[in-house]
Amino acid sequence: MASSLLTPRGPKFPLRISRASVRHAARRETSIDPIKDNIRKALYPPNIANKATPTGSWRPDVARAIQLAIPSKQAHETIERAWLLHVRHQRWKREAELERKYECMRKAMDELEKIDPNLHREANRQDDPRQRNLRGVEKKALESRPTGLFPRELRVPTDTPQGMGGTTNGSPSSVVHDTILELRLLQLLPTNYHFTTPLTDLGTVFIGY
Amino acid sequence: MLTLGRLRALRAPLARASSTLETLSGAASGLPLPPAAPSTADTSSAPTSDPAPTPAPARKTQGRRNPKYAAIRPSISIERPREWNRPVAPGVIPAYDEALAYIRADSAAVQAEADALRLSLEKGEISAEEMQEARDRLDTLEVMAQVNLPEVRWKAANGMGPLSIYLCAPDMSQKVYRHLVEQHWRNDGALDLLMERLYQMHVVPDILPELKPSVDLRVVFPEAPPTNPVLRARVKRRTAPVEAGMFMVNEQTRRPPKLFASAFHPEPRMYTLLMVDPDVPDEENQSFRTYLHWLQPNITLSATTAGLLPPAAHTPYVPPHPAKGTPYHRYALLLLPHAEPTTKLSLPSGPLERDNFNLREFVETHRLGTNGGGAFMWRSVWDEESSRIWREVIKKPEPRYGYPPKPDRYAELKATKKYA
Repeated sequence: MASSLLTPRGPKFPLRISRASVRHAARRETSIDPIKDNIRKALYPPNIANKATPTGSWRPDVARAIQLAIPSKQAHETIERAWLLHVRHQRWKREAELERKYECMRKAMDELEKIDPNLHREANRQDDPRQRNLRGVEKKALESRPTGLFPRELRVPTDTPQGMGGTTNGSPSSVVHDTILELRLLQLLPTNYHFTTPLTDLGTVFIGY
Repeated sequence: MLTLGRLRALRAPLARASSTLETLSGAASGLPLPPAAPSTADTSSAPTSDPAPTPAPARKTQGRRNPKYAAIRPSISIERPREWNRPVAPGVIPAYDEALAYIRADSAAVQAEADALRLSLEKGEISAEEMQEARDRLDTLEVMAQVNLPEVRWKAANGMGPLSIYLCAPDMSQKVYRHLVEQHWRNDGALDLLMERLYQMHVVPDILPELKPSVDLRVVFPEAPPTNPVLRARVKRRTAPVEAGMFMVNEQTRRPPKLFASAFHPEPRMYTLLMVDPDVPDEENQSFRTYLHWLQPNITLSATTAGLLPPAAHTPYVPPHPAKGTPYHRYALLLLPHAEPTTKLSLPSGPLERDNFNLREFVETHRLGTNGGGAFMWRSVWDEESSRIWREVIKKPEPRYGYPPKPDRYAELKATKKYA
C-alpha cells in the first residue's frame, strides 16, 4: 500500500490489553511509600503490553524509528549516491595530486642523472637496515636519521626572511632551505613547488642529503 | 519496479522490498477507485420526495478499520502517466538538498566533457586506433552524466521515460535507460532467481553445458483454474507471470505463452526460440529423451522492439503432456543468439523431428551461441488434462509408467488351509 511517508499513522496493531481491570493510581513524582509500591507491583503486576517484546517477536516501534531515520527511500538513495560521488572525486583529486608530485620527482631525478651521476647514485642508494653491521654510537647515529625522510628541522618557506627569534647560521634547517632555493634557481624544481600540504602527506622522498 | 508496463501483472513475485518500509509499487492496483463525490443537484431533482436524511448518530464504536476504498492514488500506468517530483519538500532534509545540488553540478560537468569529446570525434581529431576507445569513453560519459539524476532513475524504475512510441517504457534508445534497466535486472534479483532455478533443477548441465542470459525473457501464462468446479466456469481467467521453476498445471500451458523479451543492445540481432522437455522416459536405454515442443528461428530483437511475437512457428507449439507415472517434467524455453547477428538460420521446410531431439547437435550444427540470449523453465506433472492432450493433440495412445507388479510370495500359502 502506498501512502505519504511523512504522515504519521496510528498504531497498526492493537495494544494487547488484558481483560482484567487494574487499578491505575495517578503516578506521583516521588512516591509516598516506595516499599508499599513495590509490594503492590509484585502483587498486581502491570499487564498493559505496549512495548516491544524482549526477544523481538513483536516490535511495533521499528517502523516509526525507520520512518524518522529514513523518511524517503528515494531521498536516501540520492544522498547515498551524492556522497559516494563526493568520495570518488576526493579520491581522484588526491590521486592526481600524488601523480603530479611523483612526476616532478621523476623529472628531477632524470635531470640529476644527467647533471651528476654520482649524486644520482647516492640519491638512489637503498640501504637495507638488516644488512647494516654497526654497533653502538654509529648505529644510533644512523638510525636516528633514516635516509629518505625529510629532515626533522625542515622549515616551511616564509615570506619574510629569517631574523625573528634568532638566525641560525649553517644549521641543518637553513642548509636545506638554501638547497631548495638553489634547486629552484637551477630550475630543477618547478617554481610553484610549495609545501601546500602537510609534510607527512608527501610520503617518502628520495632527496640526496 | 522495472519498466515493461507491457507486463503490468508482474509485481510481487520478483520484487524484494523491505518489509518494514512501505514501497510505492502499487499493491493497491487491484482495489477499485473511490466513488465519485455525490452531487447535491441530484437529490433536489428527484421526483419522489425522499425523506430528509436524518443526521448520522454520534459514533459510539470505533467502526470498520478498513475503508472500503483505499485513499491512495492508483499506480503509474500508460493511462495514468506521471512526472517525477521531489520526494520531500525543500528544507525537510537538508542533506537531500545538498545532494541534489551536488549531483546536478556533477552531471553538468560530465555532460560538458562528453559534448567536448563528441565534438572532437565529429571533427575527426582522433586517430583511427583511438577511435573505438574514444567512442566507448563517450558512451560511458553520457551514461555517467545521467545515471545519478533522481528523475532519470525514477523514470527507469517506473517506465516513464521520454516520449517514445512505447509510452510505458523508458526511451531505450538512450543508453542510460538501457543501462539502468539492465543493471536492475542483473543486480536486484531477477537474473539471480532465474539462474538459481536453472542450476537447481539441473537444466544447465542436462540440456546445455552453460547458459549466460543477456536478454530478460519473461513468460506469461493464464492463471491456474480454481479447484472449486463452480468457480471454474464463473471466474474469468487472468494471465499471471510465471516464476522460473514454478509448477504449472497442464491446462495453463495448453496454449503458447505470451513472451516478453527485453534485449539491451540497440542494434537488432537474430535469435532462435526453442522449447524442449528433457524428461521423456526412454525405456530401451533406461534413460530420458528430449522432446521438442516449439521451434521458431530468425526472431529479431533489439532494445527498441517491444514484446516477442514469433510469427507462425517453424515447428508449431505442442502443449506439455507429462505421462502418468513419470516424475515431474522440466520445460525449458531458450532464446539462443545466432553466431552472426544478422544471419538467418536455414532449416528444412517442414517441422523437425520432435521425439529424440538432440539439442546439443542442433546448437552445434547451426552455431547457436549460449553466451547471451534468454532462458526460462517451469515444471509440470501428469493430470487429467495431460491425458486429454495425448488424445486430442498428440493422437497417440498415452503411455503409463510405473513399477512392475511385485509377485506375491505368499500366494500359494494363502491358498492352503491354516488350521486342520
